[in-house]
Amino acid sequence: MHKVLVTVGTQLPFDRLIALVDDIASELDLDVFAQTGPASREFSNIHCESFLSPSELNDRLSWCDVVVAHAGMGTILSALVAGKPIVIVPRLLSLGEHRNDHQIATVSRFSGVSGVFTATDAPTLYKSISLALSTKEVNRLSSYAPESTISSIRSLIDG
Amino acid sequence: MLASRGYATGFVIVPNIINSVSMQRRKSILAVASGGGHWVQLLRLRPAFRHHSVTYVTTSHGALPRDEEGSIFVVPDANFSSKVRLIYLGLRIAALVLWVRPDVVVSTGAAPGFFAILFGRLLGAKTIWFDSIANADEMSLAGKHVRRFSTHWLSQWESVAQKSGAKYVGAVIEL
Repeated sequence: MHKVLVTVGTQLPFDRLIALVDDIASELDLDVFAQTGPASREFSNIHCESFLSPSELNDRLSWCDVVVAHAGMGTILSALVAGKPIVIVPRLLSLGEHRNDHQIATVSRFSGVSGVFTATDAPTLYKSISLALSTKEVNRLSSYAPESTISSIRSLIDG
Repeated sequence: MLASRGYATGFVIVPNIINSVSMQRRKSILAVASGGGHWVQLLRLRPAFRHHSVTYVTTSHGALPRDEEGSIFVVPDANFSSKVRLIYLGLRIAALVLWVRPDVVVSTGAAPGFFAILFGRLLGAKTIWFDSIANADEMSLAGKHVRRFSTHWLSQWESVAQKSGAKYVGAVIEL
């Protein structure tokens, strides 16, 4: 079975994403652990928790083969630092999933990044999870910003 | 002739010791970010804080890596849609800024950072707003509100910097 961590972040629920994964879990032979936020319903094929502590989240990041998540910056950066491929699905303002449509912009800006896959519905999610699972190796992203950014900020602080 | 020769030998190159690291005064930095994406981005800037004393401020979902030396305060989360929570958050941040008296305030957002920059600036600190990389089309709402209190008002996107008048000095990740 392929181990999948689903996470929707700490602010708002994202039941649509959980349901999408729930629907294809058995087809793709997925062992799913989902952090659901304040979810409003039960899901049949997957293990759910509302919230994870930072260390629990880190444990789950190490455990999984692939991350499937809302297109939240914290989640994307954490997955890349852990060296795990991630499938991101944008929250939509129109469905009340977010306060704005920033995640749509995030998806388009990050779609070229190595290790990042995108999806918006069931067929694209199926395809992206399959692609992510067959990704051989994802380079771990550095834990810190690029050196040029760091030294610029350092100059602004020290100067 | 003699006078001009003496004048010429009077030029000596003084080593620029003022900028060497060992002479750098250890500053007090207040580093503020909401839990989640803002916090993850702030932590990626930590090497820039080296040699200074850092106090971190975040909302309940953030956490400091075990190897980090700075102290951390947790404040309640709030956004611009709830005035009451916002006022309470403002008071908490004001108290923290008065307590810490930072030389520098750095924030990646959102509301806690807005208040920290505002009060920090009023107390004479240097303030750096580093808008979240999630704001790829325009500056965030909090960022727009905090502009005139920011010594350095930064976007992580060159296109956004160009449009808004913010500065671009880099991002937390190379895209």
